Amino acid sequence: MMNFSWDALFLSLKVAGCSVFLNLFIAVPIGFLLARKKFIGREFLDTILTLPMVMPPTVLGYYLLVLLGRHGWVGQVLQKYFDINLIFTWQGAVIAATIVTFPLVFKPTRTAFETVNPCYEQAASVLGISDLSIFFRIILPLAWRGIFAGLLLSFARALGEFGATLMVAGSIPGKTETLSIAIYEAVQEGNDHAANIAVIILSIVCIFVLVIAKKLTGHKIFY
Amino acid sequence: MMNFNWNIQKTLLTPQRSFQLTLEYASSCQSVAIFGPSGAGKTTLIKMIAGLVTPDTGFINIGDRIFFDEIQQINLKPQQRNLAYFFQAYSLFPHLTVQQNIFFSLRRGIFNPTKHQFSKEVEGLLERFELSNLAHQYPHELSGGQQQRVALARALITKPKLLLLDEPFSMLDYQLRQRLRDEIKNIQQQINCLLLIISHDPEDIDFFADDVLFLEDGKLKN
Repeated sequence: MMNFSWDALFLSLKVAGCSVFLNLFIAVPIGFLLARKKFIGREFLDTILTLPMVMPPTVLGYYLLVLLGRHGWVGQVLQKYFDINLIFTWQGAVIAATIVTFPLVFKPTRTAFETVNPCYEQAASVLGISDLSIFFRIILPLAWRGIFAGLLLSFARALGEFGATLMVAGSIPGKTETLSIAIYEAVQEGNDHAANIAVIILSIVCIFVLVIAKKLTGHKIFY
Repeated sequence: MMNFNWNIQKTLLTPQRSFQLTLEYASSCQSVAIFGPSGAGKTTLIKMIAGLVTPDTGFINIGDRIFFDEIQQINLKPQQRNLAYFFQAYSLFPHLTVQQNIFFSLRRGIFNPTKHQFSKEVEGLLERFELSNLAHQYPHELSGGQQQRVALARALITKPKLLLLDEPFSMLDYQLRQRLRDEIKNIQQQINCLLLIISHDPEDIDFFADDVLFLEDGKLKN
């Protein structure tokens, strides 16, 4: 265990955790809007937002680099007004992981909200319950399984994120070197022992997360 | 005073057809029954009264209140109409027990009633509708007739000014049907509310209605 980089594991968990947190507040509301609001271009927007799922992560990473880099327009604004530089930082890795995993959250969220039958909301509204309360008392309890499963999947995917993260955050040991990047580096250096341990740990975590996600989605009790 | 007074138009568009509802009615009766073939627009009418479907033009006045008036630009939300609606499909909340379903409207805020939240009113209704031993079951564990009774109890606990019933007894056997008719009539008299019932059963109509409407092809006939 001497060679194993605990820093890399904790960094991976931190980056994955933060990306899940961000997606909870970005992908989940967007999934809700797409499920419930009818507007022109809805399906087109859905397609665009699904792109990160099919695009190679390196391509995404390159876009991010262009956008967030010193000469990118987002990067320039962040640098000029907030003195923030995201390239080669762990926060940059979070952005990369969030975008790569975005469709994994927003797709199941949309489906989960769409499968809640509107008749329950109608029944509750006639009973005098406000729209906000209906959301928390009817819609969310009936949809949370799908949302939670999506968030878990995105966590597992973010743990394994490699291409986009490497492009945006690089591989600085102890700073931006996540576990999946550390595995690559270890193999490159011929350090098989470290690679083996990291691979096993990452595999166990991913299997664990998938089993929970499966349990939640496969378990359609009655609705 | 007119208890029921409406004059509304609504065009329903589906990919297959366009269907025109032109409904006009005024009455001082306490209880009105609507019958007619399926697809004639009965449920749409009741949904417009409940505020779940918005008419294209016209007005709906119930009791002394204006629910909808296109000219005055009034359209009360379902929450503001103080009515109870018994849905044809029951629409019981699947994640809540029988008792929680009935308690649902008494609890305000963003949390549902807990499984063991107790209330005299809920208990009374559970007894009245023979649901006491089912209080902690979930809707999917109940038979159609039991679900129907829960839906009735849930609708009545709000002490509505107007009770809308869409085929309320269709799943019940003959004896239970008669008992529940009595219960509903008692409750109606107790809380002094107006009643609008959709039914195919002539006995329901005889029992409840002071006036009967026949709805066919989107038009009302007395």
